[in-house]
Amino acid sequence: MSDRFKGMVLEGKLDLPFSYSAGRTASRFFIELRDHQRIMGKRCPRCNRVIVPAQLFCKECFTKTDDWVEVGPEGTLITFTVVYRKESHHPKDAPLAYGIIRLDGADTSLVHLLAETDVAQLQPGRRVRAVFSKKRIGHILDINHFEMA
Amino acid sequence: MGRRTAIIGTGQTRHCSKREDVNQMELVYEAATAALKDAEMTVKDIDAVVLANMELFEGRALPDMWCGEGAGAFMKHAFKISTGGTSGTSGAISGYYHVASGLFNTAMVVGFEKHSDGNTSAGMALTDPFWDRHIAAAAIGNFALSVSEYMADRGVTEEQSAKVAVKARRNACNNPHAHLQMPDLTVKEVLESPMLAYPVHRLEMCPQSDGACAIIYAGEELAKKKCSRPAWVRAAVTRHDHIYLGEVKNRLSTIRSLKEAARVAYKMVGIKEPLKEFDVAEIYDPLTYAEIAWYEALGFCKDREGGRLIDDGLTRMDGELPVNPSGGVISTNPVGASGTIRVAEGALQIHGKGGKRQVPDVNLVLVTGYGVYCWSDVMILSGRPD
Amino acid sequence: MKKDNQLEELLRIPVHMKLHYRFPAGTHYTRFFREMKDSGKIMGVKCTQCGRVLVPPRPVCGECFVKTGDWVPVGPKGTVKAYTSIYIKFIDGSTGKPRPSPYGSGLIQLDGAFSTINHILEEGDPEKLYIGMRVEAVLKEKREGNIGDILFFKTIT
Repeated sequence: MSDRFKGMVLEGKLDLPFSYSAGRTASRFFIELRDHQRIMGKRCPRCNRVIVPAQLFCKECFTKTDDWVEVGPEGTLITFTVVYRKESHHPKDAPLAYGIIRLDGADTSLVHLLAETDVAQLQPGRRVRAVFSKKRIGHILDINHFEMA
Repeated sequence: MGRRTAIIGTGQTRHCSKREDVNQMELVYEAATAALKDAEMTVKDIDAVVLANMELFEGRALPDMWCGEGAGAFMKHAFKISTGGTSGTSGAISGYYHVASGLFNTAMVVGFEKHSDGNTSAGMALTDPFWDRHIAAAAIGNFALSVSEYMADRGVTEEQSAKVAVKARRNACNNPHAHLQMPDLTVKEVLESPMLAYPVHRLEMCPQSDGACAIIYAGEELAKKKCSRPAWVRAAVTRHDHIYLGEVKNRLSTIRSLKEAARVAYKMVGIKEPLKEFDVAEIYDPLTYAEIAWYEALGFCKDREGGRLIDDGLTRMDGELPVNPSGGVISTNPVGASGTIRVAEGALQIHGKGGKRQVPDVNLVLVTGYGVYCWSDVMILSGRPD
Repeated sequence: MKKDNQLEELLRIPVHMKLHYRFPAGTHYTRFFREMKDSGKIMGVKCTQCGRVLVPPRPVCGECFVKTGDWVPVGPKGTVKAYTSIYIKFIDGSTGKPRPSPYGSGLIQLDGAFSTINHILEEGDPEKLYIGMRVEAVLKEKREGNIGDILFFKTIT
């Protein structure tokens, strides 16, 4: 019966407002992007890693980070993908390239969009550079994308 | 019962309507580090972590991701528990099971909610799409329905309800973590506050808070070594009733899940006269009327006498059984943490760290959790292991 | 550079989440909504063990944990067992906007049913609402096969 049963289906939409507080540390990270086009990390006093984006505490050592450190804007592409299927929640039309980028001076990597979508050009180890948006609002997309350096 | 297990540390954030200085993970971290400090432990001393939270309120998939990072379970054993309003107590009970089972020597439980990131009523609207979603008006509307039934059934008055609000917000003034502290609140002000859903006024309902709370459990040997007065878990019981409000008759008066959980827990500890035998109760009071209903269900008095208990002041700080010295959920409500806060506040009374809200000579504490439409958790904590 | 604690500006990241959902109703809810849509009848289902007539019609009785049995018509008249008037600006999750308030809401026990259903009451004035008041389901003319086919419950004497 189960495969032949034609039941009713309730369809609908959810439409919900959210507003996420960034907290003091991430706020400063975004404000640095917005006002000074600077990408900032914070150093863990215990393991000495520079964590980017800046975090209140080192998640591995469970210790508060202390010094602010400017990193980038250039870095090394660790890995990448190109998405060819368009989805409504994607930030850009397909093909959409994004990658994991180790910014110079950082010990953790940032996930961000890549301008280059040609797979032949996108090799791990390639150098990339942050391109800042003209209109910046204090958001991760204040870095518009990374371009090949 | 498993092996003897006690709470040896607790930690809470500052709870308020908007904690914009921290994000969700940082809120969890704040409570976890406060509990570690209280227990004089480091994150290395924790074997397992349980996180408790209401899913969807914050609009994040997998809030359990904060287990590893915010709650210190990086590369450790961790779980998330999500059972609505009982999340915080169910999480606490899960943490207890971890240690009582003998599989882990220590466990940390962190309950959290960051209401200001989302919209509670919208979150609550994600109920049954066939029957509730387009009809019900979330927790407040559904509670209001139950209150009209309860008032008719048990003869509780508006004034008695308002007295619960006054007691709670005054107690909250002694609790540095509490969200709503109102030393001069009067019955008149409560009843003149805006009507949310008849007959429930704003000041009779719990607020929406941002906050987190952590507790640390240890097995007997370590508990005795680390803590001069551990809060031993003597009973931990959960019961679930129907999910659909229409299948529960007189939700507040019958509250089968709470009665059954209490019956089982009382039997485990040998409680016969709860009002006399318990030294403190921290019960989950989402609104004033529920607190009075729980008095009856928990056997503090007979049915229909809950209102008299509040009239006679028996549950005030100077009464026979102080109920919610912390100010309760009516004063502070980060939902996923609200249950954990009840457990932490109960343990705090045994630890003797209650500060201005400390009740003298506490040995036996009753803690409850309440969730969804009719789920209940009951824990009994004691200064003595048996 | 400024120290953390000198920073005044704290940012929020707003996101409006729009999601589409699709819930298959299954055998029992399908029959309930089809009957209501096609013939305007409200149906419950009876537990073979405890005899409770359940609306919503559950395929399994949650208390006895056995399959339910016969279908029985219930209502359209019923009795208010609990009521409220909603004054809060409650955000409807399906629209993202508050519903118009105040409005009456109640738990209604349809004649012949054990359980009550949560629905909108025509009467929104809490002074005029009472437990035990008699009401009757008012159905839409053009029904779609969902709980909204009952527009509200009108007061009858």
